[in-house]
Amino acid sequence: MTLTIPALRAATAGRRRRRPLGVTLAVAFLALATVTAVLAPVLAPHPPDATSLLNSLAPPGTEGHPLGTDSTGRDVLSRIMYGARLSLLAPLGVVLLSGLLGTAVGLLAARAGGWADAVLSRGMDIVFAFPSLLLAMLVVAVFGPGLTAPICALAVGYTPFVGRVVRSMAIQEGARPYMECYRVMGFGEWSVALRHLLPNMLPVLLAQSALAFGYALVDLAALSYLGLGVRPPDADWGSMIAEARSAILQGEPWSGLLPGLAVILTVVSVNVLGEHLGGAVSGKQRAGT
Amino acid sequence: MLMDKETTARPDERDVLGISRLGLAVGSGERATPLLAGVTVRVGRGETVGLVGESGSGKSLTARTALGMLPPGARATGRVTVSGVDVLAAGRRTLRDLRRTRVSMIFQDPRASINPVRRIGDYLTEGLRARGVPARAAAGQALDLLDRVGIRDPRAAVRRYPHQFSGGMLQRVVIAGALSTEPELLLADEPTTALDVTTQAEVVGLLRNLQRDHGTGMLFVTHDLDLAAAVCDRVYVMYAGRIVEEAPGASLFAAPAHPYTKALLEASPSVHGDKAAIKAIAGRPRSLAESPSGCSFRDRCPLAGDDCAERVPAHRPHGASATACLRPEQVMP
Amino acid sequence: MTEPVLTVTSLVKRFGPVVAVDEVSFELMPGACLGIVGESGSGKTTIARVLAGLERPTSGTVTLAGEVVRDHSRRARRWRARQLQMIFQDPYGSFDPRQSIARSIAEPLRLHRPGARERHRARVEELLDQVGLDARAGAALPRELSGGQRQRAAIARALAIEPRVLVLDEAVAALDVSIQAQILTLLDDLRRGTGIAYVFVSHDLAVVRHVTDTAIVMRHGRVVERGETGRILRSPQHPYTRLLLDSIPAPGWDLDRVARDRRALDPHPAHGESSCSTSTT
Repeated sequence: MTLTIPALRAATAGRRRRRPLGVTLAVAFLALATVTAVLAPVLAPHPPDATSLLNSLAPPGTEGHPLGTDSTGRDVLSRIMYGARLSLLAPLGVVLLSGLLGTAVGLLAARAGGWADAVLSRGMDIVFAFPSLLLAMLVVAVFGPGLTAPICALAVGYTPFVGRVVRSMAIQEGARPYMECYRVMGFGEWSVALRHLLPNMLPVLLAQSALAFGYALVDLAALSYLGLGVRPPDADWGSMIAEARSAILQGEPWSGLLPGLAVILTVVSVNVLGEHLGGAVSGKQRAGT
Repeated sequence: MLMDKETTARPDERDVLGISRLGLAVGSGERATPLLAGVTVRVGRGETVGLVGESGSGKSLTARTALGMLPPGARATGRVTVSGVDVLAAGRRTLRDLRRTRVSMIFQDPRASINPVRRIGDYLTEGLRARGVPARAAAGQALDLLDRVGIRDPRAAVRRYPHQFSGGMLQRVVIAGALSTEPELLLADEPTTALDVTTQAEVVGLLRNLQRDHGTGMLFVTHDLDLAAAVCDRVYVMYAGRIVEEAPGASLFAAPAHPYTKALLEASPSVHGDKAAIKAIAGRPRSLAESPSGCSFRDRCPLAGDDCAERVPAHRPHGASATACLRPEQVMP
Repeated sequence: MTEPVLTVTSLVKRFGPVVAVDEVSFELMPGACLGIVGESGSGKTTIARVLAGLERPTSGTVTLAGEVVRDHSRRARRWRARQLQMIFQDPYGSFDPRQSIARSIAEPLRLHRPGARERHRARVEELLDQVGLDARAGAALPRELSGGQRQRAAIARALAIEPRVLVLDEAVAALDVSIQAQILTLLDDLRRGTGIAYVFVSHDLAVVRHVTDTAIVMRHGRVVERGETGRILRSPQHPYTRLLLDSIPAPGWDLDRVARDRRALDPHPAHGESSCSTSTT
């Protein structure tokens, strides 16, 4: 029995060295999106809000406007590049906030146990059952449009997404013998949780965050599309699609389709990456035990 | 040397299990990892044969090949016959028939080998029904089997679930299941390792009685040299994927003929006799892939010389044993 | 007269309606070795866990180095850790899988023996050497070591705190015979070298005989026999101790007698056993 393990390990190591093509493409696309977002002022061929009514609704491939222009003659490529900043930054904010909140709540529930665990877990179930987009819209209705309020609302909405995983992993990991070893050595519960539990959960947290990033991006784009998110003159991909509505009806779909494509590609890439991270983690756990 | 050739080349056709010159490797070409080499084991009708070794010795692997269960990607050489059926050459169908009717296996952890959500009765009748026994008759036989393995009130037991039994009782149920097909060969892979000592004695006693009544041949795989010597007619000691000694169970303690057997005996503390200091063996048990050239044990052996590195020592008779050692006369008990 | 380093008085531990440990008392002198022998469900592991502070006793007291262990404050926890350490059965799960062995051994040092990083590093090397591991094993991750090496590392980690008592819960049960002998020899040497006292919890009478001076035999949470280990094995007084001894395989093993004796001890095995399967081991 024991003899088969080195052989199996060799086999899996060989498989892991070859990263699937889809993951490579996803990483490449996300890197490209990040670079263009950061360097938009340098890379963009035009200012994002430079209108030119003479040149409105130019199709892709037009001289000087590789992806065409929108109904007010703004360069679509430049706007997508600038739009990437908010479109990527806002979900990142959601992921970071919900990750922090979720980890805290999950750890607290797992460590406390008993009725505190029951209250926190049921609380997370209720938040989970409540559509986060609806929550965000309610918050916008109260605080007015803008990105800060929906980011906070979505962060709360996504907290159970992280919190439930952290809770179950903390309980599972906490039952491992080495956790008891630390307790016997005189370490406190929280110091063990922060120094050993959390780092060991990090890969799963990353995978979960990647998935949450995708959902948050779509939710925020939807909010902007509804006019509840970004306020002009700022633009993200969702608001670009909204602004293209009339153009689409006129049979000129480019200015709306292209930012839509950016949303789709980003979400798919993030999901592929998240799935890969999650798979690698479970594979490693299988090899480790 | 002569004896060795004879026993390996023509295994007795009446043996229930005949493994001869079995080699096993995973992978192919230069990256192949050898697991077993030149393993020869025979189990006669009604005989209890022990297969003893530490982790990585390949004892479980050897037992599994008798059922045609090879590790994924493994290639076997040599010959394995169960009641005259060539297991390595057998197709899927032949193997299935073999497992259904002629060979049964008992594993270490009874909880892992029984479906936890099905009743004990279903577990027992399943095998019988697969052999074409009608449902009513199968139910009757299940009660009879449980009674034979010493479970009180079989009628209540068949309606219970595995979690309602203790480990020892559940292992009895597994044994009942293994015997339901009235096999000619029983492979017992560490069947008592997960049990308490007092339960172990009972389960071993049960196995031995049932096996005697039916004339079943048993291959008893264990890491416990004392247990093997106490239970088995003959014992094979395995080290690093090879058989290093074959001896009658009774003489194993009195006259070990391989340095590894002797080292194992000296390393295990005993409750009997005077309290003697235990002698640890330096290093750790190896698998075949990590073992040195020539004799696998030579890097841990106090008797090793340069000639031990030349080739794998052939089995030679020494006293009551057959040992794969160049100087068995220097192995003193 | 020297004072015992560990005294357990009338220890009781209940899990709901199940009494896992029932009125157990024993003493351990400095540098001595006490065996706790029993099968699963005997309560031996529960005692070990109470000693290590992983379970709170329902009643009874544990006195360590002359002080009754009471509260679970941060200070009390650390104080107890400096007096008593524990080695677990499972050498595979005893380490954080992400950390090198040397780092894992350094951690309790940092908590209990604050000092310069260099001094810690030197001490870790010394500890590794003491248990027979080289620097390469120290740099390795837990999964890269064999079971025996991991158990050595666990012993090094426990010794880092320089406790006066080491509780070994089935510490050699999961190891191969040849490796088990190495660890037992190591434990013997360490006790002679450092004067540490052991509580050796095991189901294996042969191992207990080899390691311990005195022993208690437990069954269903109660102590059924106690005394010098050699005497217990030579002339067992309680029928259960005799049954345990007879259950050990030996040439001419009388299996029928074992079965008979066991039934005589347990008139209703069906009930007893099904409750055993749910209790902790």
